[in-house]
Amino acid sequence: MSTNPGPATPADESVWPLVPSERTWGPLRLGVTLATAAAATWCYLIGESVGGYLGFVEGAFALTAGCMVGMLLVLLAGGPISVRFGIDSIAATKPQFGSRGWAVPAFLQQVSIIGWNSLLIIFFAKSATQLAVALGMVPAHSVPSAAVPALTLAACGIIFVVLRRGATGVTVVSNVLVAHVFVGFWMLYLLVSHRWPELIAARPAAAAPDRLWNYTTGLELGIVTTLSWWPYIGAMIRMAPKGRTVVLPVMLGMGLPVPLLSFIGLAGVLVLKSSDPSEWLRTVGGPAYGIVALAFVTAANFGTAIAGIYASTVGLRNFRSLERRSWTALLLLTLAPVAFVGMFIPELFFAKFGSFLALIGVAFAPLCGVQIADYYLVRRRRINVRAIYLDTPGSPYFFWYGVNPAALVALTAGCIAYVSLLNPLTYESFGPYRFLTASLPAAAVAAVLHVALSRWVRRRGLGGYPAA
Amino acid sequence: MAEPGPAALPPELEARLQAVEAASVDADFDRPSWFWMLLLGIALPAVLIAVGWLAGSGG
Repeated sequence: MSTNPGPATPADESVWPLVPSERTWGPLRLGVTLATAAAATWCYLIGESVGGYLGFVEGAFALTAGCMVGMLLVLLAGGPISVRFGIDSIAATKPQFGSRGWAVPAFLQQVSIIGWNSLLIIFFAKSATQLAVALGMVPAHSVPSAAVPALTLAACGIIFVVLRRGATGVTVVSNVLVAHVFVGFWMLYLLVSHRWPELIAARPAAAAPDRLWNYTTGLELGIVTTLSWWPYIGAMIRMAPKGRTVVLPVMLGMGLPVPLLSFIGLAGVLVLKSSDPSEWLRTVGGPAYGIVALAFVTAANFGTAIAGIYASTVGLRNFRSLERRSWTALLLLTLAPVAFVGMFIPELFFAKFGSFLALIGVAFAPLCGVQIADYYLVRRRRINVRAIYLDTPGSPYFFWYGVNPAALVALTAGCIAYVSLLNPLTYESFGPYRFLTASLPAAAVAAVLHVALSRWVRRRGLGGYPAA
Repeated sequence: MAEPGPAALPPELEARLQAVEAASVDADFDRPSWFWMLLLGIALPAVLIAVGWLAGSGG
């Protein structure tokens, strides 16, 4: 048996299914929360990456298309089980991976969210330091070396206080910080309107001779960007009452703002050779605009970090050793590695951990493939919600020792397929990558293999599959 | 395979599961939801890919 956070635990702080009366988020509230979570520093880093291969118009179209495709995959993978039963992303993986095998996607979730949020909070601290300098609060020549670690710790403290209120804390902050999304669009308008002729004429610095390869890479960058929302999405959409409530907020609130805000980085790197809006906005509009940009960056990273830490903390509830811990203890457990990284090894983390996160990101495409195939093709939408909370031998999702080897083999094969097509660190490609991307074949390989191997599992009477 | 008995679960979880099972949770996405997902996740990207490619070719 799994999960017993105690009777006093509020529903949105547990992994138990939410009952219909607790699922009160409407489309607007969900959309605002998702948009605030999606918009962060990574948007202009993504734009910068695309700007290395494509010009503004081609890059904008390819990136937007890729983001929408990736968002659809994430919604089809984690969405159905979460919206039907009011459970988070990790609990929703138990029918595919097993009542103990879910630890694999949980590991991916924890590493991805904690890793990315460490980066975001360090970015936050650096932006806040620059903002203090720009506002004249601190002399530029005498910024204390302890400023970034101290601000990281302060950010973790504020996130802790906000998330003591669970999902309500996330929405309260989102309602305020969503303004930064519009500030981002204003910044994009400024750059485009001031520098349009240069923007159209600009040539990407690292473009390959093969135009199709460049275009496919722009598309691939979009797909992997929104695939990385897989760890976040379940904890948010389970607060909404039904599928119809989540579709437009996810596709338009989370899928669309990312490419639109990434145009900031795309335009910036093409025209001014810098994706950082706080640098180029100062060039375009003077110091006051630079201050606005810094405030935007600071707010954006803070909103995303709050949503990420919330999703990660809810995910921890799935671990048996943590099931009886208080919400406060779990929050501290989630924030501790982030605070440690920000305080003691921020530069080392920047230099090394980004590569590791790129490798982890490879797994989300095949993970989506396994989930989509399992739900729509293998189980034909029949899920035993009760069995999600059991891990005793003989329970439907126990498989072998709690693990479904079919899903693990399919996930591994999908990861191998991905790196066989594209090295996510060097962007060296192989085989038919230029025609197919890497994420889509990786998801397809995982899906096909999962369907095939699940027949073998079903013949052994395991997995709680419907009769053939 | 024998279905697990409700007695194996904590009372509050059992109550939640009964409430969820009693609710109409058979459907995930309805027809309008599928329409929007296919429009925004497949049709729109297909158009964007084609237009972006043609724009880049000067066509």
